[in-house]
Amino acid sequence: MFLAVLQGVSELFPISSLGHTILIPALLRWPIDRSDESFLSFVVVLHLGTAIALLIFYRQEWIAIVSALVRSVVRGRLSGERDEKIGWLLIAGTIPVGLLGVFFESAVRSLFGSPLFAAGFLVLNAGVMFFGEWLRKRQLQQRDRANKPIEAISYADGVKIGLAQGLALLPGISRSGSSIVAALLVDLDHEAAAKYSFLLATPVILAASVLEIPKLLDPSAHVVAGEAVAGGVLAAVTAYASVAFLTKYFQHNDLRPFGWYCLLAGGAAFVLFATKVIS
Amino acid sequence: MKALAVVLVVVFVLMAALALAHPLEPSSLTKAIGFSSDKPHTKHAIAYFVLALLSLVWIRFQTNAAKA
Repeated sequence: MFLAVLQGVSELFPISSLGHTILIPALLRWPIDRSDESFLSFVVVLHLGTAIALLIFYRQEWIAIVSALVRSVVRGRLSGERDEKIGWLLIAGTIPVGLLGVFFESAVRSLFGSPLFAAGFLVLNAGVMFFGEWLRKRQLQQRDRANKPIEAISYADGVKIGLAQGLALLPGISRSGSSIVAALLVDLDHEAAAKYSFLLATPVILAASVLEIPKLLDPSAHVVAGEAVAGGVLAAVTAYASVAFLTKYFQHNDLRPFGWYCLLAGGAAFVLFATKVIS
Repeated sequence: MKALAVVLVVVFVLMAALALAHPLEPSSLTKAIGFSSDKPHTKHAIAYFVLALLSLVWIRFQTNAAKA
């Protein structure tokens, strides 16, 4: 249940859920085998809960976006309407992260799946957020660039944000953190960048969990249905609360507090693992 | 551009079929693109089918643009 809360919170806060699910069990010396079918199946349910929470939170946006996309395909041309542009931007951003995930996920996880790498990348995640905030401030001061609405960004910028989200394959690099930073650098404000990041994360998290559902049905999975359902519901509730909090938070605040958290937590964990205080 | 989209549809459908058939010797490249014989690569196949579908949508947009 602790893992469910951890997943629900850390998937959407820019602090890397993958990094935390590697670091916290290692720090607390939990006997979790991350390659075990039961554990993987439980994680699938937690992701599904998170994706459902995002879908429910942004249900009106998703209904408008999907119907605008269907209309544009039926019509066979773009109309320039807001929801349609956001829909195609989300598709343009999801293709690179989807391909990176399908092609490189196993290789990246086997190369960088250790707690030491996760701690190091968490520190790097802090650097990305601090650097992104500094660059955005500099852009606003020097070039007099104004904030844009989501639908005003170009498709090329949509792909760039998708590629940035792909960095989250590295355990410790946050999906929302990297995509919010990329969105800030193409002139979205914090509120719009966070909203776009959560919309962009939804199909990826949903697809990643739906594609793993066969593991749940595998006889070797040994998933206790009650535990799995409770975990999924808990992850969904915490993810919903997280996205509700973060959308309000980013109306007036920036990424730096999360950067400080990642720097301190990642730095401390790195020292503990590097000096073999915890192995 | 429409010809390119048609080529892409054919290529992606073939790649999806290869990912499902997974006929090649396992190596880092064949594993990454989903053609290695160590296991069926359903995720790769779905990804290729989605790309084929998007290429079909591209053809639809191209056809309509030509008509206009």
